[in-house]
Amino acid sequence: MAVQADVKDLADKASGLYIRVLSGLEEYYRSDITFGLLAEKLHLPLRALIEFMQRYRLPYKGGEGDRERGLASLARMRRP
Amino acid sequence: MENPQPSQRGAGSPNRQGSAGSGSLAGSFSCGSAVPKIVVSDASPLIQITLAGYLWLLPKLYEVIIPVAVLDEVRFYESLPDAVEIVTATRTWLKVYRVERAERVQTFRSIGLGRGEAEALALYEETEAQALLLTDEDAMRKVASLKANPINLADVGREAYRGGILTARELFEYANTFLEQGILLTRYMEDLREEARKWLSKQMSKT
Repeated sequence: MAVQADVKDLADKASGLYIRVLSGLEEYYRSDITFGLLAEKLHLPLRALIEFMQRYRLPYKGGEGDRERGLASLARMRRP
Repeated sequence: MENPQPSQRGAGSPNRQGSAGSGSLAGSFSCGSAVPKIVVSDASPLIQITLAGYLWLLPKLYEVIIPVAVLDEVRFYESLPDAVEIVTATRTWLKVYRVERAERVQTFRSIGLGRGEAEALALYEETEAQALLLTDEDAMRKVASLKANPINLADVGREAYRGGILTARELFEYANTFLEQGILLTRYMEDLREEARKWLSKQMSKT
């Protein structure tokens, strides 16, 4: 039972973190927050956030259309 | 490990080259015809270029320096291959400096830069660096508003091509690696891939 509770706790935390990262990234695309500051605000190592961006093929803000593409990707990721 | 080293440079008046180019946002931050000699790098581009397998390009183009905060971010997961590669580079061509003016870092933090970005900008100010290597356009805008000269990894590729280090085909592969592997999906890297494609087809039409 204790193990099950631990696993559930871990899953809840992971799910919460995932949602928090998506919210943080939405702020990243909608505002002028930099990528480095975003990692700090999320209390995530920069390297972990880079890995997240690569895994989900999320764009960095580098020019025209990147913000819109990023927001569209986040919307897809939020779909159940 | 011998680094981080104490700062070997005092605050001084920078002797910078390079000016704004034209065109896209990435282009507007490019170094123009003057190739920067000393470049301060933030952690993100350093990690991204390593993940893409092109870290070797940097010392062929620039003298690259980083602040301690950037090294800390790079080696957070010290056993990852990219961290190992970058930390190994600090034993040879990649120099680590401690920022001397902590109050400048705080000033730069107050305009919305992360710790690594703020230290990189402070190091740029303290040294004779000619460019600051960054990833996202908001960081580039913020440092440009302070008269710094930001460049990105597309600019690095462009310089490598102009310097004869990469052929047009290799430049295309460079940009394509970042994009196809999802390491750096950005408009400026897409623009670079298009430029490389045009240069490549121009070369092929000549032969």
